[in-house]
Amino acid sequence: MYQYDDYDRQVVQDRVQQFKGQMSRFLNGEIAEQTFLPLRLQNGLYLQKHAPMLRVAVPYGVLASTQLRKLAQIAKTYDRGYCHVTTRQNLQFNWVKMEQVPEILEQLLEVEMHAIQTSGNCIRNTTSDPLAGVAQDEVADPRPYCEIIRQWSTLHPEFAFLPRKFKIAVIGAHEDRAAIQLHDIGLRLVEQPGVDGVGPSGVNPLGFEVWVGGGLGRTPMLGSRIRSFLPQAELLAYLKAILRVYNRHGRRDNKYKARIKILVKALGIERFKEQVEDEFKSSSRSDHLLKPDELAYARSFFSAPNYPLIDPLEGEALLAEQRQQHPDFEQWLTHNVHAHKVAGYAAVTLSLKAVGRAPGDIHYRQLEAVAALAERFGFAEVRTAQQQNMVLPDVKKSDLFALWQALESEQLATPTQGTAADLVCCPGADFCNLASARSLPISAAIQQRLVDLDKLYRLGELSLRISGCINACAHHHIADIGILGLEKSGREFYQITLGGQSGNHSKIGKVLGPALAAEAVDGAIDQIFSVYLKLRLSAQESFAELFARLGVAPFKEAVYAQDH
Amino acid sequence: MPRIIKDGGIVDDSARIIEIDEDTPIHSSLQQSVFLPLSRWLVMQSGMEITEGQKLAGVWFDGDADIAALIDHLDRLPAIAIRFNSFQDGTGFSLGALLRESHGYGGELRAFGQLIADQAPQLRRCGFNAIALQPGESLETAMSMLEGMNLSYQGSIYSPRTPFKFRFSSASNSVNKT
Ligand code: SF4
Repeated sequence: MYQYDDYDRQVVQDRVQQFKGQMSRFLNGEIAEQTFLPLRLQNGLYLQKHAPMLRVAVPYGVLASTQLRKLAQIAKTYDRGYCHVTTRQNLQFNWVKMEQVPEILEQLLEVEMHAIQTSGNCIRNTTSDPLAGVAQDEVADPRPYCEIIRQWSTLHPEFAFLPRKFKIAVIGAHEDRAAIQLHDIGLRLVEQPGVDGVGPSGVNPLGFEVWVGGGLGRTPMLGSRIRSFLPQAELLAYLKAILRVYNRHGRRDNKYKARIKILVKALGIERFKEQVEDEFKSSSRSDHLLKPDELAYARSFFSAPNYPLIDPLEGEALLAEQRQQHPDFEQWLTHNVHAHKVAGYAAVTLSLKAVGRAPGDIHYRQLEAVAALAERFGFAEVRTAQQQNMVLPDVKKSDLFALWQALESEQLATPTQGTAADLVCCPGADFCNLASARSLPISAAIQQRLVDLDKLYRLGELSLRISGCINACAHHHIADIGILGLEKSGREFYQITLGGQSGNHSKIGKVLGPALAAEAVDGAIDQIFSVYLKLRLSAQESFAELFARLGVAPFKEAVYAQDH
Repeated sequence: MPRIIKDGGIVDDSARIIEIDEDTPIHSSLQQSVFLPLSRWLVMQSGMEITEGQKLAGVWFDGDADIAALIDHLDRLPAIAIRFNSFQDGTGFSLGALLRESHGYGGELRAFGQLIADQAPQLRRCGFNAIALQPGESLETAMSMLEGMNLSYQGSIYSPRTPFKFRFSSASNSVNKT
């Protein structure tokens, strides 16, 4: 993984010092409250319901075991013993004390971490594929480019006060596990098409397919493709051109119309593209281009580790035996273990969805355990995933059984990844000041209805996401079943959307009908499950396929019939 | 006399911003440097003969102004001032950078309006060589921030850089590549 040099350390150190200064000027009255607000947000510090919340950046979701231990120590010393994995691969501490924040930032710097630009109207943490570098379907590893973007976007002088927040995602695989079309800018590594289409792998130059103008929130929209091939050398120059057009012409009169998606929509992708290309031509100089040596240097940090040579067949034989003897292990293998590009290895999801826990929460003892497991079963590296889980990227298949046992005892082996019980949920009104409604009790009630694994598995792959307000932090629009918290005259209501999809076939879900009261939600969700099970043509027909075939009507009928 | 930061120091500054609805007559030989609103400046340009040695007025506009009509006149403009209507409205950063980077503007580029001390380094790096802060903000604090300006990943409009430029050659020998 990337390692800071003195340069990186100095940049972050300077920012920590600057923030310390801003905080003390605020505390002694030199900076007014409303001036301090955006300054602290740019450093990830929110004031929540009960206490300040500090959001720490996990660049493109990659963490070293040393960083996990430090995070555990922070959770234990400065928080109530746990932290929370967000849907943008970051980590949140929900119970910190304002005065202790500079101290926490210094602690973070010791392990090359920070909270820079984890909030505010600026370029946020770049997200990526949690399987980056190990996925079987990868054209190229996106992490070197993520790191280049991380550095370029960190404290960029021109883009610190954008109309609104700005999110970039980068992938290098065929399957989109980072929802690039839902980002302000989505980048996919591709080979330059040859004269007669795509040439042989590894021969054609690499570049990016560029998507722009995606986003959720009040007006969910999928991004449009602005470039089908951008040479990698031009990456930063092109990003700058897009951001400059946005910073100059994006709306600032209405917070809900300020994201780049609204500008792209208003101009139309063709005119927007014209403006970007003009800007790109007139402002790019050779100084803005990434040189081959520089790209090679960035890549050198992410070269594949030395996988010890193993006999894959031996591992398979052992696995087959263990599967037979332990049905629980078999379930976990089926759901939480993923293919790896190296024979004999697997990537493993560590589930943060144990029943009775808030999705994405992780205790400091678990963090410490994960650090130890990452060292024992891998190369001391862990990933955070948008689905509020973690991933161990490099596990020998012959170690899976031992790993499973260890995870079981840490409550990190819930065998439900990709199912409805792997639900994604924002903190909602229990913590978040912006919330319209609580999301955690809804999530808990639905979880309770899914404790029967047979029923859960019968439903197959199904995504369920719950947001506590229209900001849509849990990305409910792109779930098979989405739930959105609303507030009407002081009461909490929930709107259900169906048929959303993420990845290569991204789609925004459709509203089921009038919002429901809190007590009716888990029952309604159960009805939706039943309708799906009853009407599907076979176990192979996914929820999305059935929804494409039948639409909202049968679900609507079932959910609202019981009302009358 | 009001003070601003200019070219790396705090200086007295008597320049006057002529408001849009102000009809103060402007003579071609100015005693005091003034900044005219863009619309008025454009009107004056068409009717004004400028001989050598005469002091030209500068022009000011908001960060979101349409400056297409101004582009052809840039090399005759001694000073441009961009107004920031809120310190959280960053349009002016991009407009300033654009003037320097895409149009090669070389005269004084001034930022004024609702700006706080903490923004001075960002303004400087976007090409503003003159900075007037909002009332109540300390120029000294801003100066110390400019002086404390250290390393950055982007450089400035004057010397842009990519993040790893200058770093990979020296580091590639010593960095542990894992
Ligand atoms: S969706 Fe709303 S309630 Fe949930 S975390 Fe985001 S802002 Fe808060």
